[in-house]
Amino acid sequence: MRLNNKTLARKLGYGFSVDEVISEDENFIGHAKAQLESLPEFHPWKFIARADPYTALLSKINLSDLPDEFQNDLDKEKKKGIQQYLKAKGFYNLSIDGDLGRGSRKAISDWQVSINAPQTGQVDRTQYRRILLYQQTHGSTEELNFPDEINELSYWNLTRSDLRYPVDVGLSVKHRLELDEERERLRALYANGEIPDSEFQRLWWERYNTFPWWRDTLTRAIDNVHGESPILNRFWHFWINFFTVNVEACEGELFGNYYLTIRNHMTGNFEELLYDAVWHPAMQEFLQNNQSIGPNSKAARWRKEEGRSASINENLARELLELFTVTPAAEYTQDDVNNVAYILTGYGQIWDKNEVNRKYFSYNFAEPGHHKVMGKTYKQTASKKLLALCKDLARDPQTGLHIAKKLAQHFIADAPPLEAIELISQAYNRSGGSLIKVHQAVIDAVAKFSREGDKFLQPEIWLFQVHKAIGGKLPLKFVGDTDNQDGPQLNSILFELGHLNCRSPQPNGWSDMAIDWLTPEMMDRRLRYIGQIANRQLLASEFDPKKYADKLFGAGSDSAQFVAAAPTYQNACIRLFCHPKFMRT
Amino acid sequence: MMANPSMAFPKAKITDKRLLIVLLRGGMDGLASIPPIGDKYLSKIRKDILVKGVRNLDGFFGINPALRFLGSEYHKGRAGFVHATSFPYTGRSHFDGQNIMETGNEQPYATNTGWIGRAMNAGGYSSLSVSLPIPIILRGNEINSNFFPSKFQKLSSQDYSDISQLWHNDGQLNGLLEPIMERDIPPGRGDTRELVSFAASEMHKTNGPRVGLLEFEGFDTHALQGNEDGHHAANLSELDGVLQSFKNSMGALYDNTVVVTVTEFGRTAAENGTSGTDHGYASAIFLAGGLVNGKQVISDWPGLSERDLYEGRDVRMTIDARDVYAEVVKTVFDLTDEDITRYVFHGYQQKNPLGIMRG
Repeated sequence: MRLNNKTLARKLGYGFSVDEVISEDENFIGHAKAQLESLPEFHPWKFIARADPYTALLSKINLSDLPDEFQNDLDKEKKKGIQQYLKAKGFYNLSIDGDLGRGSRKAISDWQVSINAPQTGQVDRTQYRRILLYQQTHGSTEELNFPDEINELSYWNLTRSDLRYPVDVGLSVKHRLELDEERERLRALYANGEIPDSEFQRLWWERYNTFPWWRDTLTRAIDNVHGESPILNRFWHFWINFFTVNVEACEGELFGNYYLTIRNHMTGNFEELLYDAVWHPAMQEFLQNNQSIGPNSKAARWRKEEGRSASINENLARELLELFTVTPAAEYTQDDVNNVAYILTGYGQIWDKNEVNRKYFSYNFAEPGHHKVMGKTYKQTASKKLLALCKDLARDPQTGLHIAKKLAQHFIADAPPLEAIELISQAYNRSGGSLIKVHQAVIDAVAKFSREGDKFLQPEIWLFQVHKAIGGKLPLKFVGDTDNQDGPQLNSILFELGHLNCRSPQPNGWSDMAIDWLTPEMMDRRLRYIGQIANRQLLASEFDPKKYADKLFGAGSDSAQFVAAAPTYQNACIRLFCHPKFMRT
Repeated sequence: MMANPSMAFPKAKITDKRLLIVLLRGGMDGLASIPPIGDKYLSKIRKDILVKGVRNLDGFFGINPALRFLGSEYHKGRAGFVHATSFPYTGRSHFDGQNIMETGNEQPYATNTGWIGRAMNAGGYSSLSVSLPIPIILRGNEINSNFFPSKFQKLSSQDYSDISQLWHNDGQLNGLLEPIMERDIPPGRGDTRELVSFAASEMHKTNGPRVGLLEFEGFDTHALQGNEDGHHAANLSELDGVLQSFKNSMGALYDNTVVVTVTEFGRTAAENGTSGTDHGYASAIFLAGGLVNGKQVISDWPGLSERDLYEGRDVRMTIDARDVYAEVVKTVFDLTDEDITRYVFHGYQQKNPLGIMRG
């Protein structure tokens, strides 16, 4: 039976909202495939103003403490922020000097015209709030000098963090190294007796807890629920999970750029994605390849002189074969694993300031010589071997099969039909690993081989589908009607639901198998979560579970009637969102 | 697929033996918890963090005064220790080390199941993990359940029974809510003593879990570790109090119970520049309960002089932790040596009989 468009929207994306009209006449498959052909600019924060709780938080910025003529009393850094804002908006092209002179006043006036405000040439309180919002949603700390007031928006100290995914890997590495330097600085201060014990402990942990994984959680949520490319996102997140990194094993500072790097390959080829994921400092640090030293490398010699040993760490090498490409079905040997590890030596050297390039490869750590993997000898210069290896591994038919199976398990069923796997792996092999073709084949396979209710939703996808359904309001910070109802932030919610993206327990990522999620405790948390959000007066005035049940299950159906018969509003929401048909697609 | 709970616990295989696993994440310092007071090098390589007021155990080993309960249980013959023990893992990575201590494999990430999970499977037992989510060490057994206090409020019984009705005809969801409806779960984060009392009360039930699991974090004491006071001692003291609560909650069943600790590695023998210790190799295992052949510290002490230390810095492993855990699971789950080799620690055969368990 042909799947209807509502089901496809839930299988391939994050579903639909209560007010959204999903026409069955529309060519959903065609549109979905088209969405995968280009890569829109990644700019999730432009949706944030539409997320109400956020606006509510914004209104908590307390500007009343500032004097009336506060623009003149702002310090230079904040004035620079205003100039940068005007520049970004195209009203100002003079220097960012923090001096609001004639040019700046003219720019402010012009800007005020554009927002239908009186032309005063002076930024008033409301307008300054608008600038704060813009800085929050678009800016980076380095460029925009966040004012301290921005911290009112969050439990987190936002002034310390860039809220976007950093485009520049160099900047991410710099932040990551700065964290280490900060720890060293603390160590030194403590050793010199300049910080008391009590303070040291606090500061030390604070430095260890600067991982901005919460940023990723917010960004994912906002982009999935409000963004315009939910299907592209599902594929992107599939690959993030395929190339999992875990925040407990490596610095979260590296994540944003890593995720963005993966995204940039969604319209490219698997072999390039593989190469860029493997050399990336996030993956290097996560699977500790950065500690792997070629036993005959220069670094090993230096260590030997110091009486220290040096050896390879085969973690990443093993996963490169087992999880990312050919799988044990290819029957590689321990020698193959060792030789992949030799080829991988030298990467991840973000410390070696003397000899690095943008792939953070250093000859000093690389094992010299030729290395043979699965029958092929790699004779290139050390920095060229990995790319050659990745290309060969990507072209192995076992790799295509493995990827097809993983995609089919994620989108179709825990035990997908062989025809579906075949359709996807053929697309992989015929196109030379073109991810557009592979993803489009997944869509075809879903349309052809997937049945309604085959796939049990992982907690994160389920959560986003719930929030999409209720119209997109996200608990960035969970603000209740009373203090007692105030709840944890989104990342705590996902942690409670057992599926906080950045904390996948093993390098093979989050499971696609229902059996791994179906425990009493985990299911209870889903029920309780719905109970908690449904308990808010605000939701009751904006979301009608009966209306949604009619839409999803069909008016008059048993399931819709079951929701309609609920004794309370809260119970109706639970009956809807914890309905087996909602929890599966 | 999750089986119906009443089918999940084959009665024929159930004995009265209970096991509480305590994961000490971060790398517990064996030299601070069970100090080898007879080793003259100890006070040479440790200054700020040297534990004072150590209670004597057997003349050579003592016990940190923060472990008051375990110390007194030791002298009553209901607690024992194994020292200079570890899984054979020298990589000093938390991530790999914890994976190895949980999967029981020699290589990290080689499997998705845990050694306790496989042991339970071999014996036909169920477990309750007082953690979220179920840690790897218990995986590999289909009749696991987990518990952790939630920040979200519990629903009304009406809500639960509605959903249970809704899920009744669903092959995957049927039976999942009943255990929740039967439990009285305290709201909030809950302190560890409450958690352990909860675990004990579940382990008392006729068809309840035979294995409980608790996790402690915070043993990664790179800086300001402290001695008989301070960070590490506070962790030990919390653990000690929790074990005492567990004993009290178990009542008479405690005689048929064993509590055993698992940590990913020990710490460097010498103190570092920030009055702490870094990742090392061997550590100590604590065992308590009526099933333990107590009042002994089993150890083939490797010594703390620089040439005796592994790579000049870590306590060397002289007893493979798998020997200890093999004895524990053989006793609790009535397994044979062959079961150990086939299911629990793949391909591993116990090297030394330690005699840490009774009978």
